[in-house]
Amino acid sequence: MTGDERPDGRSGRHADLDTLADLHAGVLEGAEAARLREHVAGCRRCAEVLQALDAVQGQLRSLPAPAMPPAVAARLDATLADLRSDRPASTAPPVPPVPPVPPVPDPEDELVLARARRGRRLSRAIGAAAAAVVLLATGGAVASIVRGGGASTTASSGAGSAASAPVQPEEQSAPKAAGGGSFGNDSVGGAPGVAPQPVLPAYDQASLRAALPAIAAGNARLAAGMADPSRQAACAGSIPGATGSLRAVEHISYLGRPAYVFVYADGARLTGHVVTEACGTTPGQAATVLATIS
Amino acid sequence: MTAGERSDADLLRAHVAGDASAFEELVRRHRDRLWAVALRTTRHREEAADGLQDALISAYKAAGSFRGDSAVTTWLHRIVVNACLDRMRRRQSRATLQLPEDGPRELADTRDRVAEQDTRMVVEEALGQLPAEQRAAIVLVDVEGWSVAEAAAILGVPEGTIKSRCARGRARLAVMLGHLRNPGAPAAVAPRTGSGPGSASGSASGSGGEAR
Repeated sequence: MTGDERPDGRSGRHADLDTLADLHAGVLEGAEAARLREHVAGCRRCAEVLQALDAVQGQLRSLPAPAMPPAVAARLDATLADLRSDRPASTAPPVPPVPPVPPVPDPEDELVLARARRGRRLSRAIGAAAAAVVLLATGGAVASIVRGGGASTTASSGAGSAASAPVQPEEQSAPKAAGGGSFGNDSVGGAPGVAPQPVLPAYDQASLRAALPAIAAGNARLAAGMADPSRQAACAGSIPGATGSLRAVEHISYLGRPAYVFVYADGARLTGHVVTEACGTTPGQAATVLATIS
Repeated sequence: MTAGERSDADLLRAHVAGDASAFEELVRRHRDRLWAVALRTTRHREEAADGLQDALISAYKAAGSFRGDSAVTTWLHRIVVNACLDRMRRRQSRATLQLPEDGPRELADTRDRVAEQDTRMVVEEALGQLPAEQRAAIVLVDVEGWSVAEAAAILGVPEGTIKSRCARGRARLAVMLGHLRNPGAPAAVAPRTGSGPGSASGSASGSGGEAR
C-alpha cells in the first residue's frame, strides 16, 4: 500500500488502474503526480479511467441513508434504559423511553423480532417459575408479592425444594427496573397478548442464600431478558471465580437493582454469582459482580 | 444555539456529570447516521445492530475519557466503526469465512440491472464485495462525506492510508460497476499486480490486493 512498491505509470506508457486511482485520490505527489498528469492530459484511455473513478464517487455520494429498522431502534432504547438503570441512582427522575412499536413489523426484521419473541416466551415461562418460587416461599401470601398483574400465578412443578426466605417486596420501590430495562424484552413487537413486564423476584443477601436451592432447581436455560444464548454464555464466562457446573440463571432484583444470578453447583455446594444487568454485553469485559453468595 | 439546545459536547459532559437523559439525547441526535455506518460497515443487519449496541455501551461508559480533541460525532463514529470491524474480525476468525481470492469482477448482470431503480442496490452490493477496511474508508469519505482527515481520526490510521484505501476501493468498484467495461479503452488498462486469475475475461481484473 506504500508508494515504493508502485511500478510507475510514467509518461509515454499507460498507467495501470491502481496508479491512476492513486493519482485520483491524491496519494501520488510531486514529480510522480505531475508526470502522470501530463500523460493523462494526452491520453484518452487514462482520462477515461479517471472519469470512471469520478462516476464511482458520484454513485457513492448519492446512496440514500438506510433507515434504522424499528426493531433495532427499540432494542437500542432498551439498551440505553438498561444502562441507565445500571448506573448509581441519580437525582433525575427516571423517564423510561417509549420505543416506537410498529403495528405491522417489517418482514425484514424477522430475525430481530424472532429474537425478541423468544425472549418474551422465556420471560413468560420464567415469570411463572418465579411465581412458583414465591408461592413456596411465602406459603400463600401471594397477593402481597405478585402485583401489577405481572407474573402468572399458575403454580408450576419446576421449583422443588422449599425456600423459606422472606421475599422482599422491593419491586415497587425500584422504578429503575421499569421501562423495559432488559435486552430483547417486550418492548419490541406489539403482537396481541403480549405478557406484561415480568415482576423480578427481589432478594437481599440472606433471602437469596436461602433461595439458591429453589433457583438451582429451576432451569439453566436462557434467562428472561438475556437476548440470546451467546450473550448469556459471554456473561457466564466473564464471571471471575465461577466454578462448578452452571445450574440456573435467573433475572432478579438484588437489593432493588436489576441483576442476574448465575447459580453454580460444585458438588453439593451451591454458589450464586449476582452480576449487573449489562453483563455479557461488552465483549472482553469482566462481569461486575454485585455479590457472591453460598 | 438556544438555551434548550445543548451542543454534543455539552450533552456528553452532562452525561458524565450524572444527567440521566443526556446520553440518550445525544444518541437520538446521531443514531441514524451511526446506523448507516454500522450497516454499511458490516453489511449485515444483525451484526450492525449488535455492533452499534456494543459501541453505545462502551461510549456510555467511556464518556469520561473523552478529551474533546475531536468532535463528539467523530468520537462516536470511531467507536461504532471499530466495534463493527471488531465484530467482523471475530466472526471471520470463528467461521474461517471464505473470501474470494481473486480480484474484483464485474457483478453478474450489472449492465442489465442498471435500470435507474436498481442502481443503488448494485452499488450497495458492490460495496459489500470490498475488503472491510477499504469499505470502511469508502463509506466514511465517499458515502458519508467525511473529510480524509476526519476519516483518519475515526479509523485511527494515517491520512495516507485512508487515501490509499479509498483509491483501491474505488478502483475495484469501477471494475465491478462496469465503468471500465468500455471495450478498446480502459478495459485494456492492465492490472498492476498481475495476480488476477485469468479466468474472468482477463481484462479489467484490477488489483489483486489483500483479501482483507
